[in-house]
Amino acid sequence: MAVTLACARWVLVVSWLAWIPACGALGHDEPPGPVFRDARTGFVDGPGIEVCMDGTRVVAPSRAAGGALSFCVSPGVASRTCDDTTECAPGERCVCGRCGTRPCRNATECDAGEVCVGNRCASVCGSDTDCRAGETCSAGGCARRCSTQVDCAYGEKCSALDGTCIVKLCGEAVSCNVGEPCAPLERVADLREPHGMTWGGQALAFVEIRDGSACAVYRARVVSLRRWEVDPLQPVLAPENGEGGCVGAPSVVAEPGRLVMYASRGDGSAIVRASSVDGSTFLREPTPVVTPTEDWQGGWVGAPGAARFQGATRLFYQADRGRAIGLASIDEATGTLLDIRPTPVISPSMLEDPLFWRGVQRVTSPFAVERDGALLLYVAARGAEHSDAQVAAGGVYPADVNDSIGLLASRDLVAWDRFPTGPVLARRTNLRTYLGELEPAVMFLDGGAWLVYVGADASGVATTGLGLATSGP
Amino acid sequence: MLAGFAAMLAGTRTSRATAPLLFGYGPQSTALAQSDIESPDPAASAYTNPASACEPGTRLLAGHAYAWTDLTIDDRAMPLRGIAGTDLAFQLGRRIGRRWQLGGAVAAHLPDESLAQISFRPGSEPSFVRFEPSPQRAVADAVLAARYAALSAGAGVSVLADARGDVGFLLGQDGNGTYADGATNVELPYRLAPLVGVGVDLGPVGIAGRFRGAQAVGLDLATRADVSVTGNPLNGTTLVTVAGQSGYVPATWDIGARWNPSRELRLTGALQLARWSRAPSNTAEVTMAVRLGLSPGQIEARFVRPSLRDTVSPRCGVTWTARLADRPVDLRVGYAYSPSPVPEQTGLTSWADAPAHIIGVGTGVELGQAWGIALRADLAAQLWMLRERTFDKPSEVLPFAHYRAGGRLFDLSAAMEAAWR
Repeated sequence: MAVTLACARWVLVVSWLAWIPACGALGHDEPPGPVFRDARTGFVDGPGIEVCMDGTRVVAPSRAAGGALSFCVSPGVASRTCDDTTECAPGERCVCGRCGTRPCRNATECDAGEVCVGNRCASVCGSDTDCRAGETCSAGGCARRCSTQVDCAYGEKCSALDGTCIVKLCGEAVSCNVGEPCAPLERVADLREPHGMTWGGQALAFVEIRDGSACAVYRARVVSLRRWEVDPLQPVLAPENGEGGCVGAPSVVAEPGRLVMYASRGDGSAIVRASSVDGSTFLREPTPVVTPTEDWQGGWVGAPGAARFQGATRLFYQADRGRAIGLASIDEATGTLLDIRPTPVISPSMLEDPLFWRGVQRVTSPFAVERDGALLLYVAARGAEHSDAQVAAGGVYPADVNDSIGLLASRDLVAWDRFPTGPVLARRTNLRTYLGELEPAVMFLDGGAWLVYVGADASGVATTGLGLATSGP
Repeated sequence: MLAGFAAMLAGTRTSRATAPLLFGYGPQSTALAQSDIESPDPAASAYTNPASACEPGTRLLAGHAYAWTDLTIDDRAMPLRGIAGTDLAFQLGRRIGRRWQLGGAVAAHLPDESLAQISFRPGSEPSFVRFEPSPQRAVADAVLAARYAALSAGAGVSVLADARGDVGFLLGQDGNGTYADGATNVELPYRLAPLVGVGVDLGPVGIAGRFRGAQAVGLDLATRADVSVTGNPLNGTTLVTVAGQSGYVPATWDIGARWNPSRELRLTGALQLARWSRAPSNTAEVTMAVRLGLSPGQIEARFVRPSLRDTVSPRCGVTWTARLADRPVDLRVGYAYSPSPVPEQTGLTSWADAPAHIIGVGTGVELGQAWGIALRADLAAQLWMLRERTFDKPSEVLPFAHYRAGGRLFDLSAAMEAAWR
């Protein structure tokens, strides 16, 4: 009996000693990555927003030098609906909710590693073995083999010449065969001054669509994080006679039972006000809310940014084409102008930092939002956010001046703090290529925020469409 | 309480191991919430109190522990790496004459996944400075002790390795075309911290003190990249150095007391002063020198000191020795209050922490002797409950201007001990 007990103890000891090292092999957690980003300032840029209008994608003029793309569609062939490209067939892309081929005029319109063959983007190949099953290598690009139209994607035609799927582009100068409709894929226009919000449980966006010197305000449904669908197709706020053919830069405040929109005339002569009970039909008030009357406004006011704060609507606006930001206060119930500040509330020098943001010369497009009892003011400002470059020979290259997104905050609308380390969003594609970010709009969601902006090159002249940066987990 | 433990096990991500700083070394210290400074398990004396390393006998302890973390910031789980490790300790003491005792002990804590986890975070990113990544580094203590009559004293060192070295990368060109070459030279020099313990044993009562020096993993790595390819406009040299200290454990001063009101009952108490105010930055100092033909040459340094504050932590414990099937069974319970060393946040840093109530329970069972070796098994659990704390910075534009930190940690520790008397 004593021997049995002793053996049991040793079995216990040996088992224990074997179990200890085994614990270390039970599994290993991956080291956690950084996941906590500040909702107000920790923005990380991602793919841009696809804005769709009647099934076509709105593209910036700088991205459509050859005009809008359209292709011929075989009669009776319909495209499949989709929410994401993963739902489409190989070689297709989900554009504005529909799967289709990817037409092109040259390789610059295709992804990296692709060529433009037969007016469609295709993988580079040297022989058939480089292509997927069902494809053949034709003129350096993989093309789908076909015997009938059924074998091809939406927007492709089965070529009787070589039995591959090709694309036939069409437009004003080139028409399709008889019976074949010419389906537009793109619409060339400038998307400016976006404003996103939730109203009545629905995510909405308002955006200025500019075509040359003409512009108007459109409403869009936020279908997903990166897709807006213009609805209705007509502008919700259009210019009236004497407004120079342009009214835009919408800023919308939700009031009980209605939306109130502030917008600016394209010539900077006034900021106007309109309201809507259904979110799509806005009635304009006859008298402008703000007109340039002070010297510091330089005869130009525009790009309003409105937010409810401390019992009134606070209307920030750009003055003198970016020399300053002004502030007006409005009683929303009566539409009465309560107060208009006689001097600027924000000037470019307030964003200046000797290390992080130098030579700030312009502050534009204020976007105001109330958070935790403070008013946050996102603005675009033009300056240099990095140090000058030094070359091996000892010379100095000055940093490129470009537009970036900055942040200020105040609890009393008198004293303002600025984000201490320069812009909250500033993109560059490599060490020296800076990009521009203009006209910010921020939507706070649970634990994070969306920052929608207008992308541009460093000059700020050539816009590239709506960009989207997100913060939070 | 058991229901609370069960709910926590179900609702949190698992991690594996104990860290002596947080939970104590071995199940006895864990159960008593580290109040056993005066009367540690002799096998664990190298860590708990070097003065007890002269206890007559020979002891070997092998243990392991799992810890579950459920720390949150703004109700979102903080993805901390698991805390897991093995405790191995040995102690040898001999009586010399009637009044003298001499002895020595070693104790090691070996994390399951790595000897040390070096981690630097951006200064503005929220981080639980007490809980990451210090629980994940190895502890190796060695002490010698002597006792004369009622007085005992011990001293030793805690050993840790730094990481220092350089990494070279070359992209060049020769007659066979472009080639890449690399070399790494990393040293692990030792870093020592002092350990000192004293004790006075007056029979039913005793008092003791302990000092443990501060420790941190030092990192000093330089990476040099040379690019020299014909036709490449970006030929040149880039030198990046990263230096800093990670996994800081503060110097601690402990005083402890024991009172045995009866043979079955033992009361222990302790006060611990932790010198968090000496903590180095949790952010690495980064120097980057770029010398490329067309690119910027920039030298940048970012160094944010945490400005932590010292803490005083009271601890108490009760041990009741019962007899079960004619074998002594220790039942232990402990409590400690751990103040937060993190001050109000007023700038770019967003350190997270909160005061915590710590409750420990445990048991120890004598298993009898096998071939002359006395066997003993100990088991303990410890729960940390962080009181939710709100941080409000003075400016709305500072990163993380408002956030809340809180959560819980739960540790399970088990060990077997063999003693040759």
